[in-house]
Amino acid sequence: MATKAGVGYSEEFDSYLAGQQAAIEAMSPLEGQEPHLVILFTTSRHHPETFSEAVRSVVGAVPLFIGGYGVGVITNTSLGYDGYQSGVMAIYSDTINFDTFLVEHLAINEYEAGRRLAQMIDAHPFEGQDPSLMIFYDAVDRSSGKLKMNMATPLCKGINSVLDCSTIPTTGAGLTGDMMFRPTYQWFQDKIYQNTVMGLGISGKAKKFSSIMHGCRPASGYHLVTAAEGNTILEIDHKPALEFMQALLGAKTGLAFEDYGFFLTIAINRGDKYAEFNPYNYANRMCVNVHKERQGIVMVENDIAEGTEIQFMRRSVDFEYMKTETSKLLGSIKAEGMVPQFAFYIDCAGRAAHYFGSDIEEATIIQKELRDIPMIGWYAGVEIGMVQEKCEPLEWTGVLNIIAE
Amino acid sequence: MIKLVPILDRPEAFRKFTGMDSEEFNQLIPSFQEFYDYSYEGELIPDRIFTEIPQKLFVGLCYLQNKEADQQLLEHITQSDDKHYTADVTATDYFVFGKRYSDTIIQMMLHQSISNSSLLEPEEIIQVDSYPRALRYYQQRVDELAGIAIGADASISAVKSELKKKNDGLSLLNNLQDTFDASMSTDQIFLTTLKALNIKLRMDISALLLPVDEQAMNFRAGHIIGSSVVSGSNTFLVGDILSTKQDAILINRKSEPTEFSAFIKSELGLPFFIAVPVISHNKVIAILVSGRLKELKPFFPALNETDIDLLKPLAAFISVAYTNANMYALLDTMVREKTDELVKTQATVVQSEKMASLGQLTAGIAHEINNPINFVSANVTPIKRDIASLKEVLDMYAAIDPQGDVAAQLEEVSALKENIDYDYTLEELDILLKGIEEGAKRTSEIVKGLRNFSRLDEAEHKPADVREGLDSTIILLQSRLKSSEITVEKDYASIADTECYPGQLNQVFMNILTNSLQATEAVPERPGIIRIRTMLIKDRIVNTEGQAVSIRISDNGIGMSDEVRTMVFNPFFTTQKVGSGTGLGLSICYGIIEKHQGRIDVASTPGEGSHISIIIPYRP
Repeated sequence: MATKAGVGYSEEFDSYLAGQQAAIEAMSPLEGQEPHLVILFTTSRHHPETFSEAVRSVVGAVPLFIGGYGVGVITNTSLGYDGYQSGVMAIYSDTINFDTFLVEHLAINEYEAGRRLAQMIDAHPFEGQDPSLMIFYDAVDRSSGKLKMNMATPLCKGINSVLDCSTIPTTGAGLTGDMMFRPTYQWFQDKIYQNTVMGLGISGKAKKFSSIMHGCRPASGYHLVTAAEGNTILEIDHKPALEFMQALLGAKTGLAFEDYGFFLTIAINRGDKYAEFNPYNYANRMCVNVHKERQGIVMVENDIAEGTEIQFMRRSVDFEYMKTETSKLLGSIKAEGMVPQFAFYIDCAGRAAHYFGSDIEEATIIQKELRDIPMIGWYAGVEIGMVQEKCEPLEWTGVLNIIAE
Repeated sequence: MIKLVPILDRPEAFRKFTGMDSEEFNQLIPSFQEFYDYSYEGELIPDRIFTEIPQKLFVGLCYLQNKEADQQLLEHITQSDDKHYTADVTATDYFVFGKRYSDTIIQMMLHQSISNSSLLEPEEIIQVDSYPRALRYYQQRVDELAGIAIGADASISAVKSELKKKNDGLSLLNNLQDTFDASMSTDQIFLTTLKALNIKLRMDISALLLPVDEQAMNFRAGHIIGSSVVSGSNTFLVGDILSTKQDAILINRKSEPTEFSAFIKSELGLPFFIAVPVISHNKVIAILVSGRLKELKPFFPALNETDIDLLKPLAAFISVAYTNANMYALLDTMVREKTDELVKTQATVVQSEKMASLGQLTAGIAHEINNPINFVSANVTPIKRDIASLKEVLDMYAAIDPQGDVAAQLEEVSALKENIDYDYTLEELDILLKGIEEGAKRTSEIVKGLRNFSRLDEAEHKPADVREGLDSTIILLQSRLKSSEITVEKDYASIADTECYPGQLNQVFMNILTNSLQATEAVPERPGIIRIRTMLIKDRIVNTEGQAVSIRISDNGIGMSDEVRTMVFNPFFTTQKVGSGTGLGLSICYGIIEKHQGRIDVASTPGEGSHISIIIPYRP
């Protein structure tokens, strides 16, 4: 038995029962072997201590225990969000190495936290040819009593400043347990944390294959952000941002300013701006709110500064591209003579059918394509993927990671 | 001549700086926009500004990389003697407009009114200006299309979102339909529905308000899911707010607060909700309340009419399930009551049957034991007499005086011995004692047989020899068999002990043999024969894998008609006179054999006899 992974899912209201139910299901394919790694995700409706205690009561003293809150959970056969969803993945492997890393106090300085994490990774002697990294950071900072989002842009910049992500491909997620941005909890070994960035190193015989799926295509020409402050775009082409948007969309759409949140998608093209469209060059950014008084558009990340050229994106209502992308990814694995062992699907919460306004859940396409490759996914606030050989925050994106050996 | 204006952050600040009034400034805004459109290229260098820029409205645009370059440009413009660009320029003709990108990057524009331009022919102006104009045109069209596309996406999303909500509602109803069955309690029904509402329709809190009075006017939160509150403490006079007319209450951010919404908020902490009555038999039996803690697009959109449309059938569904469950509960109670009654009656009847069997048995046993006891008691008197005679002889021997005439005394003893027939007396005593021994032995056998029959100490499932049970039963019936001159023919196969309830099995044997006996007694004109045969057989019905024990009891008695035969195992069926039997004997036998996972069958020919076949699994 080289590598065995199992996934469990529960919608049980009681945190202890949920933990046990999901863990028992996850342990089943391990045929009695003790797992080396257990990954767990729940929505904010679950009690963190009770849930992890329940999982431990089933999985035993696992060497590595990592996870956190998600808006929802996806497994091979189930998915749900905004409720009592929870999921557990248990992995046994004598060929894949797992290493975990933790940097606390993320909220004080995201860049520094990223840099410190990258230093730890850089100094770690990974085995094998293709080490990779998954990062899970707390996207919500309520330590001051007010809501502040921890930014992935400086976090990624910090990581990129030290780590050559082209050699250790880094993907990950900003964790949030719901869309009301209640405090997030993170499980790391035997403790429960907040405001940390956690890293999961995967090495040995394993190789991570990732795909970025957003299905967005530029709808507009390039426009210039002429004023911005933090994560708020104040002016576009010298016009107040909201006024610009209203002029662009016209009055007939019936869209109120309140509708812009989680609907408007803006992208930065990191590649040749006049070259043929390449989704891998685009960093998608999502509008989460509007600032009526300042006539501004509030984004999740703060990297759209003055002088940034942006394009308004159109989100595809047809998710066929996900099928194509997943097939391509599986094809690449096969081409390298490797076999998929397990998968992580990091899905933007905004892509969930109820939030996006779709009659199908796009994650079901991943479920269908992966078939019996054990997969745990979760709905995240921010996704981190590789753009132009650097890790970069993405939004309204699905990042599929398949670990093969 | 040229008025250069420092770069400003905001158009309004720029306006103030230039000293223009708003109207004048607003007229220039399109020009500013056009200027900005030129910045699309943004790669001109100061020298080229005077040679390459089209001359219709603008003379130049450039991005400068540093302050030195900025200074160069300013000098170039102000000091240039190129009349092409400076001859007719006046302070009012030219504007410099820009935007600060950083301390060192400056964007500038020089504006010239076409009316003042005598430098180029109109044809030339049009020609050189056509490409940027075309670019601007297409940019505008692209942006318009972007707006239309994004707007259309919004409309599609809104429709699909509603569709998804409706599908979820339908799927919820289907799931509940599959989940609910009549045996579920009302509490289970309520809790399952509320949980499903929260999960499938993504509600935060769902609850059922239950009436606290007969008139169903005052309600209190009963079952609550999704809140730390277990049940409400206060009641609310719902009255006509939600009636049997299937009204619904929708409270979202736009709704006016009501007393009811205040009650729900205080009791459940729910600010936005839908309430629909659950009606059964024209009575509001509960109020279904389900809602969200927040309204935040697109995650928690305002509850609307679609949500009411989803909750209404759900309330109706709860009502049906509730009614079914109540009927089931009622039925269940009735069945329980009737079953209890039946069990009590059955127990009484079974007790009567037992008493009747016991009476029958007692008579048999009394008769059976009476024989050997008579045997014993009949022998006691002659034994006493014989012993007295022998004692007399012994006494005479003891009285012999050795000093006297011993021969004469022995002569007297011999005479006495002759008189009492001493040898016969000894022989008779031996016979009588043997008779007593026989009687005691027989009594002991009967008692043993009785004990074996009742197997009171063996009520549990355990290995036993069925032949022993049959023999014990025969012993108990021996006297009756003898008196009726019925022969019992036994053909027992060698069968090891098998797992059974020995005491209960004996009860079956007693019932069947008694019936056979009675059937045989009913035909006195021919010698009665009861045949008992045991064997090991293959019987797939009773034992799919192993063997089965077959016990076949046949008699040559009166037999029975098909009509009777089909009813013999029915409770209370009897062919005997009223009061003679309970009619439960064979019914109980049937139950006992069923308990053994075996089967019992009857075959009979009227006037010729009957065959009872018992087959039980062989479990050595």
